[in-house]
Amino acid sequence: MKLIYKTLLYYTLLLLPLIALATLTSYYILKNELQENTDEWLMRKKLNYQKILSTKNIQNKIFLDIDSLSYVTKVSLPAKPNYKDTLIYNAYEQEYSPYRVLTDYLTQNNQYFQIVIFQPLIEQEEILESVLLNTGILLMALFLTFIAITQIVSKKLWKGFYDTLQILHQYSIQKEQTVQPQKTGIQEFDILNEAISQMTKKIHSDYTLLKEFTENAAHELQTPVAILKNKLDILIQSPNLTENELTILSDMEYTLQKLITLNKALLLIAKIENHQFTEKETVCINTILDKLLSAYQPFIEEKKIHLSKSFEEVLYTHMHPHLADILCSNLITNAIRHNTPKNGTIHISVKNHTLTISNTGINKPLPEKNLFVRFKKQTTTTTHSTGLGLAIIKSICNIYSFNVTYTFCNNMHQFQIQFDLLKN
Amino acid sequence: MKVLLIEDEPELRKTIKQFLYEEGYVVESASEFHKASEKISAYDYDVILVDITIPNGNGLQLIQQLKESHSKAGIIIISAKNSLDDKIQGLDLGADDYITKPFHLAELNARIKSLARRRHFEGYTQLHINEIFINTDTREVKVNNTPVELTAKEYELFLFFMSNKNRVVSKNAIAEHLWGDDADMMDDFNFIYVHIRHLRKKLIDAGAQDYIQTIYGIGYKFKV
Repeated sequence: MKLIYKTLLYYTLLLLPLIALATLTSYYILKNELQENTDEWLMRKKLNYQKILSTKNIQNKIFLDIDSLSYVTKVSLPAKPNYKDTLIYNAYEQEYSPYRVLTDYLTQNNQYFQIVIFQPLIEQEEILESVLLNTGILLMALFLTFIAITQIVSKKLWKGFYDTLQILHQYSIQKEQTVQPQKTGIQEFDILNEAISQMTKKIHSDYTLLKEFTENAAHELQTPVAILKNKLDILIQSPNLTENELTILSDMEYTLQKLITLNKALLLIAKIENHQFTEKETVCINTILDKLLSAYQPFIEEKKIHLSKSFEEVLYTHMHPHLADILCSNLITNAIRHNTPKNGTIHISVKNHTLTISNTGINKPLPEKNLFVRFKKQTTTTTHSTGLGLAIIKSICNIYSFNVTYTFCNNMHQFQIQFDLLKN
Repeated sequence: MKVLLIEDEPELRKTIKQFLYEEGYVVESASEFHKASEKISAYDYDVILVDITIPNGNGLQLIQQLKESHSKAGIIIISAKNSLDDKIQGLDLGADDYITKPFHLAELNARIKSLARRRHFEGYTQLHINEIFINTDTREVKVNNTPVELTAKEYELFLFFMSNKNRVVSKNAIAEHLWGDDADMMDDFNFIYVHIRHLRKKLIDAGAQDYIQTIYGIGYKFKV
């Protein structure tokens, strides 16, 4: 649940009972006040009547008011004055009305008289109800206003925070951004933003160092490997090598060559990810494909692969020409290398700004999860495959945001690259 | 032929020097920029092998120095970088060839010999071994007077053997010479067997002796 709603929920849960309590409390206080007032008034009235009656001679019960309620009557014994509430039926309105009654006593000519005075409370009650309602409404209105203001102000106050969230959401270590959010004017958020900014700076520099390290390491490897290669060149000149020794030397040469190929591929990926290929040109994919197919012709023929092309358009795109070459070449060499040993098929099509290359090969789909991850080899072929071919393709596609996908359909392994529409 | 090797990595320098010496070249070496620069200005060489990543300076500057002094030396750049820019720049400056580490010694040999031919040192354009004659300008191969029709790859292969006479040349070295980076396309070295078989047959059919010797497991030797 969002922070604002939780906050408001707490406020509601705590304030509403308080409002109810406050309303009730003010009701009772007011009611008490009014009652005291009424009682005082009743007593004053009694005293008034007492004064007036002192000049009269009371024989029987006499009504003091035209409402025929308040009266004076003879009694034998006095008692303490008492106030109470009562209900009197009003025939005119056909309902019961509330009254406050004072029952007090006076003496006249050594006679005791009881004086009962009625005071209608209906107006009071109505006023009370009105006040209660108004208080309630007022407090609720305040409460709702408070909620509304809180919401509005909160949006404004938290804007800085949400902006930061947005930045973080879009942050990608690959894009190598450093985050520098604007000042919000709110101390806590500014502190947060500063911390994030420092953190991203550090991530960026660590990452850059790591990538440079990878590139440097691959680069450094080339020298000892070159030495080994040359030493082997010399070693194989030795006369009187036994067949066994020659076999070992041959294996060494083969393995060394694999090492070299692997290192070259790693170096290429490191360079790609280190943005060493920043220049862009308009390249024609069709031309590159044709050139490569012609260069690989002997290999295609040797494996008796049936090659079919369907170029429905001329695909131009904007990228570094060397990378375009590598991209297409890796796709094609994969299609050749991982094909069936003989009589396989390769189909290449260019259409809707997409390059599709499919080949026969193993009769089941390649597991998609680690397909473009480095070194995860999908098959157990004994080819010179380094497991980096697809990783290189993915690296290249990443920098240009080309979409590369793999599907297995009609028993063919199909790789598809969606090139960006050429921005003019 | 006098060769100057400019290379800072000691093991590599030692190995290449030894190899060149065995192949009959007169070899001198330098391991850093200033020494190399001195040598270049003091002496003449037929071929200079420059590693452009030497310390204390840039190998490309040495090429400039050579060109400015109108040196007739052939220049081959050795580079670990495989950088297209360096390659273009180096060749633009006047280098004759560019070879990336790691390379086979047989490949280096072939490049030096090819460079020598292009520069017409010691009349290298007309090669002949016993009954076989090669005109590298016209790419004609004759056994005695019988012309031999070789495909482009077969010719390259033959020339490679000729440049590395009496040396065991590994299959890998042959593959790299003929197909460059595409060499790792091959699952096995069938291609090479096929080309060698064809080359051998054509030469023998034209009356040549069988110079191409198979060395078990490793490769071949053009034995003269």
